[in-house]
Amino acid sequence: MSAELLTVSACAEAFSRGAVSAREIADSTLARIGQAAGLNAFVAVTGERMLAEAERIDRARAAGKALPPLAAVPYAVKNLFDVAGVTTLAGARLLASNPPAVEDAVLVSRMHEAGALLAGTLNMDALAYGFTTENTHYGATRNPRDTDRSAGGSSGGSAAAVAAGLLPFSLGSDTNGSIRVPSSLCGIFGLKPTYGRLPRSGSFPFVDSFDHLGPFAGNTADLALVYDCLQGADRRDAACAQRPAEPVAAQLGRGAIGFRVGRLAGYFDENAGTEARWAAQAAAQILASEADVELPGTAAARAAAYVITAAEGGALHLNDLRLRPEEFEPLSRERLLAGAMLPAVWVQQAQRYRRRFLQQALALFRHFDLLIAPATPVTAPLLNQPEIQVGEKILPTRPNLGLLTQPISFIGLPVAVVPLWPAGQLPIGVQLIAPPWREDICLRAAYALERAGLANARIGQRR
Amino acid sequence: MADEKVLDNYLAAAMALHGVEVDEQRLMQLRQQFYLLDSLAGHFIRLDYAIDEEPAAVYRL
Repeated sequence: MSAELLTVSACAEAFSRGAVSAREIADSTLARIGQAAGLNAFVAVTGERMLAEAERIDRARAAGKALPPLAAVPYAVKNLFDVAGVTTLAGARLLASNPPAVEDAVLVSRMHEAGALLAGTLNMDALAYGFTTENTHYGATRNPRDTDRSAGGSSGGSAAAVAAGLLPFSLGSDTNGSIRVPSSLCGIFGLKPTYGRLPRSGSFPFVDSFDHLGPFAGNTADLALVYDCLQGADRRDAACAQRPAEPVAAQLGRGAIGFRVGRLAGYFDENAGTEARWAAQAAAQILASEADVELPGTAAARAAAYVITAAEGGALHLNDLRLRPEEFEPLSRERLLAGAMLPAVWVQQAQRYRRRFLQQALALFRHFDLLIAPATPVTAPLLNQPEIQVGEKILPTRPNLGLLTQPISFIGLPVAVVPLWPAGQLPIGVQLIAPPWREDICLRAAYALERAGLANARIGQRR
Repeated sequence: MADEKVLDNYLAAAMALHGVEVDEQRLMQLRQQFYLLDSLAGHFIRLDYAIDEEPAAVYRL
């Protein structure tokens, strides 16, 4: 794909003015994906479908029809989204013998209606339970910035494909940080919308209490454009709010002037390494942060999120854990099983704590419109690196890359992640956190950081 | 954090209740995970919750 086609807006615009056909875009995308097989970002390439979608959109243009907003823009989805004709693996060999999906997930349908071209399904941690996309059965996804390193997870394939310039955008899911962690480690933009904003119908669940879907892209404008096309209620998802779409893309230019901004300290400083603290402070400075603030009870929030995750995930798979344990990812199997054995009162109290912690966060938002925190404690670790160092602490890598994201998804707040580049280092992300339903604030702040030259995805570049 | 023997006994009973069987190596890993979850639960299970701080079947913001 030529450089001008690496963003959503450039791709749609080039197609719209006739500079390129959808077929040419599809062909070049498929060629790039083939050349980047070593990243192991893709699990399945849906070339036939992509070419059919390209032909459809080329015909629409030839007939002079109005073109949809993502006309001829290539993308791919984490392999927990249903794609008609493809088995939904959710990264798990356990599901490999399931029949192919009969229809697309709601968000895949919406992308089809918006004119986008589906290139395939992307690698992930098994059953979305992990932060590194080290998958025993389907292989690890490599970080395009340094292929010896983890792409983050669980939506590692989604982030790696965008960071490598294979696609202008992708879709993933985030239960405890699975959009934000790989965005941070791969150095791209990601959005975890408010819990209940986007319907999950037709996606494989992990933890219903926390499951969110959302996009990855190489810049804020693309992220907002895709997000706007994803919005809209769907009654098949009981947690999906019956709210009308609230488009954001046209508001980005309003910037972040007037926002009351605070930088989260306390827990978020204590669990951040040097680069992570630098990134949050740099973003806070550009956005004219008024204060360093503490969100009380954050450690307990992370603990409660961990317990609910293990319990709901374990309960979901209890029968298979009993009957087919050898089919599970060994890296997470015993965590799931332990979760399924928990006393009910622990889980109930964790859910009650969620109410309390949300009230704590809403109290902060009476004084601030936007809160800033690092997205990961450290930059991308090496593949199979057992431990990370965070300040003085040595912690197991796999569960702790989500230390800074888990407390936020616990209460469903919207978050945009922007990539920053400490001098001579790998990228690291900053979380821009807003009150419920205010994705516009997250994305306007992200856009402001990009315009100020601080946030940049450096698509296709190694570090 | 509860006594490990108490946790081991609880875990063994829960496994029997659910018909879960594992080999010795997996049991060791399972116990470690259970101890970790117990230590995390210690952050919030004994807080004094108000009667209206109820958990919701479906969380809505």
